Amino acid sequence: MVRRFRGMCFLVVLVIASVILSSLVTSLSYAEKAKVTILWRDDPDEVPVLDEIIKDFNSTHPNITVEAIVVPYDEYDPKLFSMWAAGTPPDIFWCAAESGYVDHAIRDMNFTLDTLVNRDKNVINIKDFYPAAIEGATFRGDLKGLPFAQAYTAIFYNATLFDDAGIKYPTTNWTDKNWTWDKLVGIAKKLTKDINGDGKIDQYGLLDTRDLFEMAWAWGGDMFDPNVYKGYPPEKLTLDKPKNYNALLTALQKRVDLVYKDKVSPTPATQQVIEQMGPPLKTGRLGMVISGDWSIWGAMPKNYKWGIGAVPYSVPNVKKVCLYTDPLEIARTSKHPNEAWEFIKYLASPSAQKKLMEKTSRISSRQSLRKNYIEKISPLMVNTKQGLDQVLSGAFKYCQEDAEHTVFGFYKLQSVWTSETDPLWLEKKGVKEVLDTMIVKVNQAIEENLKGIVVR
Amino acid sequence: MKTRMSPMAKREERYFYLCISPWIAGFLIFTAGPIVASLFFSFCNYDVVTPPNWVGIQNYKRLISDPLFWQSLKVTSYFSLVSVPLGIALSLIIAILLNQNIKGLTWFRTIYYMPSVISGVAVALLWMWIFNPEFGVLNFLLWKLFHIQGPAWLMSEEWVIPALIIMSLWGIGGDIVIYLAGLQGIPTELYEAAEIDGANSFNKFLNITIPMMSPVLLFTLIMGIINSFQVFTQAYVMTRGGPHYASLFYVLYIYQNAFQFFSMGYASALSWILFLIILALTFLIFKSSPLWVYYESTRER
Repeated sequence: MVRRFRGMCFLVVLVIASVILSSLVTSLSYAEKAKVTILWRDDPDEVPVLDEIIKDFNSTHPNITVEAIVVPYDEYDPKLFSMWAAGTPPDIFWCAAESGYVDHAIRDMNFTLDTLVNRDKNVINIKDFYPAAIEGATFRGDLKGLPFAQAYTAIFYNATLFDDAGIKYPTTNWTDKNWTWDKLVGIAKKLTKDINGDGKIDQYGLLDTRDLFEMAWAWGGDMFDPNVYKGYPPEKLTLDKPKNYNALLTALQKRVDLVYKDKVSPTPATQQVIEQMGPPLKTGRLGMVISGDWSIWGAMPKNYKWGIGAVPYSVPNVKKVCLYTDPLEIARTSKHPNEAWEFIKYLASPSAQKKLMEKTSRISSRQSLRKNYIEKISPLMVNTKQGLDQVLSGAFKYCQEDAEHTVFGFYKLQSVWTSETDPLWLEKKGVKEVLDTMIVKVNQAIEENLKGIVVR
Repeated sequence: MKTRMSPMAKREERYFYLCISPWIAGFLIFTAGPIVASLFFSFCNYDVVTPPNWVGIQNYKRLISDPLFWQSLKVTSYFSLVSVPLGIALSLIIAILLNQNIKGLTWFRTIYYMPSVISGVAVALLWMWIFNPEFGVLNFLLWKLFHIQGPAWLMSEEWVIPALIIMSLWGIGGDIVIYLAGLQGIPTELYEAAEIDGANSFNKFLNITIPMMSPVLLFTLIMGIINSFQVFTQAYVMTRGGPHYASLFYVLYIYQNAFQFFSMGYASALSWILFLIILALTFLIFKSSPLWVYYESTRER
């Protein structure tokens, strides 16, 4: 009987040993091949192309195996951070979710790429990248990632609704002095309609999706100190300066007016209703949207014509919109940083970028590929190719990188100011009262953020 | 005195430990380990990426002065206080109706249980449409039947919690099945004896059904409270805690701190407070149970 027990013990040991042995053998066979992991978000357009690019790369680089780890958007940051905590970070990652490259850099998570870029300057040709994109990947003077794609801000509109109302399309010229906020609201009013005559608006003229910091920019102010965008943690909002405060106050008032005074924008409740039917612009219930170019990602409904225009002046001589850069970063604790760099170089190369642009809706960070992008989208648009080129040059010129990527601890601050401005949309409080409370609360959140890290 | 184990019993014991060892290892590594770790982290500043540094009771101090902590506690208690009793009452009533000798009982049982099978996220998306202020079926019916202009439900500070409470009643099927089983276990002779004594239906319900069901009620009350304090999916999917923190449930706030703000230390402190709250509530209910729970097998001395 004792023998039988020993036999069982032996069996258990054997099973465990064989598991360990087999994993050893597999890892040994990988030993000569560097395995590089890349963490990606589960985007139905991007993932198949990424897989294809990885396949090409692996077949041309026999010593490197790249493997994509794909997770849903909401889980991207938790996955990245927990892989890090476990000591097995992905070799390559990017600000696919809420945390920006500055959040990573302050925690010393990413390599500085300047030396590598200089070493391979002939292949990389860094001058080909939009200057704003390179700035949108720079942390206190150091390049922390190589951009592989962009999103830009503009006015995207349903041209069919313009035709129906007999209105001229918005200009593509960003420096047209006559293209002002009031003009925009005027057009929006003509596009707002109660189609079935039930007393409720069915078609809205304008949806401005810009976040608070973008609104402050547009009205000539700023919520943060210029240094903050370079990667130094904010110590407080700069809204104690009258210029900044008044800019945001006016911007918020104008936004509220769009909904309740001019009645050209849906209330947040109605907006949610529209969004449940799909991306707002594509539903055909919206004339214009000011947003990132994700408003025209994916297939556009064929029963409408579409167009892109310049964002108007909110105040004279001030124009700044948001640019969204996606820089690929290398984990500072990566075991194969050189191999990871090889893949980043490959993904940012013109040939891979072309492939990415053909099969997804993304625009490349390489200026030389802008014409390919225009070629691709122009059949959908009422704009001429020159018009599209003009819109894009402006969008990449009058822009600054998304604060979500450049401001430390941004997500927490954003969630505070989003919640704090809710009463505006519930018509409960006035703009000034809401703004004053919001400033106090966001400053508290900034303090908590600062306590949370060892500031570098 | 403990008697010496027979060789057979000894061998059986060894087999027991051998066979249960995967579970013990799993428990220690995946449950006990993280619990102990979270206690440690609750005294640290920890953003997951950089090593934790000890800050003593700073996280617990911050908690007291954090208005969102109190808000999340308020929201969760409000939800719990209304949804748990309401759920118990409603499921007991339906269980009693289903316990009448009617045809097609199994069908009804299945129909009432069915919603409990559907996953949380799918249910949340479904109810988002129901509560939709413009196109939702709920406001449509309110208008058609009673000429009441329904509220904005999930987009209204006042109505978001009532809306989520209404939605929570969708999942009472599980309790109904438990109550049905309990009801069917009550000996019919008790009712017969009461009838001979001239008791009416209400007397029978109050003096037989309720006492006989009390152990089951205790179980569902405790489970209900624990579950209501752990509400997450609805708030995460449907409201994200809004509008203006009106549906900031406690566990959602823990999630935000842990995985969106990366204040893992603070989130751990919040979790331990939640644990203590649930522990205290469960303890109180258990302590009070001799007053109102009747066990057939225990004799009063």
